[in-house]
Amino acid sequence: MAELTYRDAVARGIAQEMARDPDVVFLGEDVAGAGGVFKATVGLLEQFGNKRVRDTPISEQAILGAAMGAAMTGLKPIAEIMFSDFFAVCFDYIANEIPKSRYMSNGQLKCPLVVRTGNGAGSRFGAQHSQSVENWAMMIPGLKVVAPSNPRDVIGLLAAAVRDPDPVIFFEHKSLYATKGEVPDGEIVDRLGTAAIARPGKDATILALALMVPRALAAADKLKAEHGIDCEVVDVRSLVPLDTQTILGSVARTHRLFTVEENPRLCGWGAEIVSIVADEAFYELDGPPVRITTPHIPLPAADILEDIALPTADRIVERVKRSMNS
Amino acid sequence: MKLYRERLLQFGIGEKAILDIEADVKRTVDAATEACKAAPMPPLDILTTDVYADGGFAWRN
Repeated sequence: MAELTYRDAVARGIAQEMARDPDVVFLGEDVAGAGGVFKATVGLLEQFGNKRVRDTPISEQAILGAAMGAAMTGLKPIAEIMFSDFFAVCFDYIANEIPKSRYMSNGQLKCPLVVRTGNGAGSRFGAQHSQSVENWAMMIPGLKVVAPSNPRDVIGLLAAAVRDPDPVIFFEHKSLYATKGEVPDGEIVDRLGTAAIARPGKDATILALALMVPRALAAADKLKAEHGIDCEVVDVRSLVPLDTQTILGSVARTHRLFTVEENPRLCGWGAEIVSIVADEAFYELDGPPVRITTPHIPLPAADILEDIALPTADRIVERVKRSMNS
Repeated sequence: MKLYRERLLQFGIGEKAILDIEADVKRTVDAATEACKAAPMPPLDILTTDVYADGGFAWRN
């Protein structure tokens, strides 16, 4: 067991898969010589050489086009898009080309690749470099979508993504890169499509993703200590496939549902889950599901504004307490 | 296409060769179109086939 940062876990996860399978290649802007702008890929060039670890021109379309071609011809590429906001400039590949190749070719073409990207806010990068765009990806049939919240899950889910025969969008949270966690020694391989109960509880279910998971856990501790409300925190981890069994099971035990979403309110992932719960577990609920989200705004760069835009542990506590007491 | 045709002429490809290529392309496309029109409609289950590698379209458990 070792303590790793989320940042170092990215490099370890990629290295684990590149060492296992010579067909795994890695490409992106400044990922090789510089070790990534977030320093999440340091050492990979030295370990695997410039044939398998490649810096690319500043062209997100070129990165994903190259990755798609490599995947179709037998390699297992891991492509990095530095900021998930830049999905907007290569969205044709993300929405039209990569996920639809299998369907449009009647299963003749395969596109097994991983697109890693820095997602989310909290680092004062402003409106065009801070968005949580996991809902952009989860709406597209043919893609799988994961977003780990801790170093162990980074390695395990990245390994699962690389080994998966479908294209996987892997959202790393920029504000989690410096966080640390215990990671077992040896190979770690997780399963896509599995949520994790991060904290058991009996009074309410709080669903959270990525950076919102530690905030939900902090809120749950405070709700228990100060208000006697025992919350179960579920780390959703995988949006596609979605682990509805774990989610519906938790709601059936607690009878209350809260989602904590960093995305702006409209069409966030929590809306889809609330709709599933309304369809399939309505009579389990003792109160209306509540979504705790960022407002429907572009994210500001000023720290005091960004801090009040994102859901905080205090906001979660206040909203859960108000709902449970009403 | 028009620009490419002019380019081929500039390269010295003769008019007859270009007309032959165009006729060949037209025959191929027409044959494919007729084959598609004559083919039966696809089975309904193809609607949800091969979205993912497991052959289906399941996005949840």
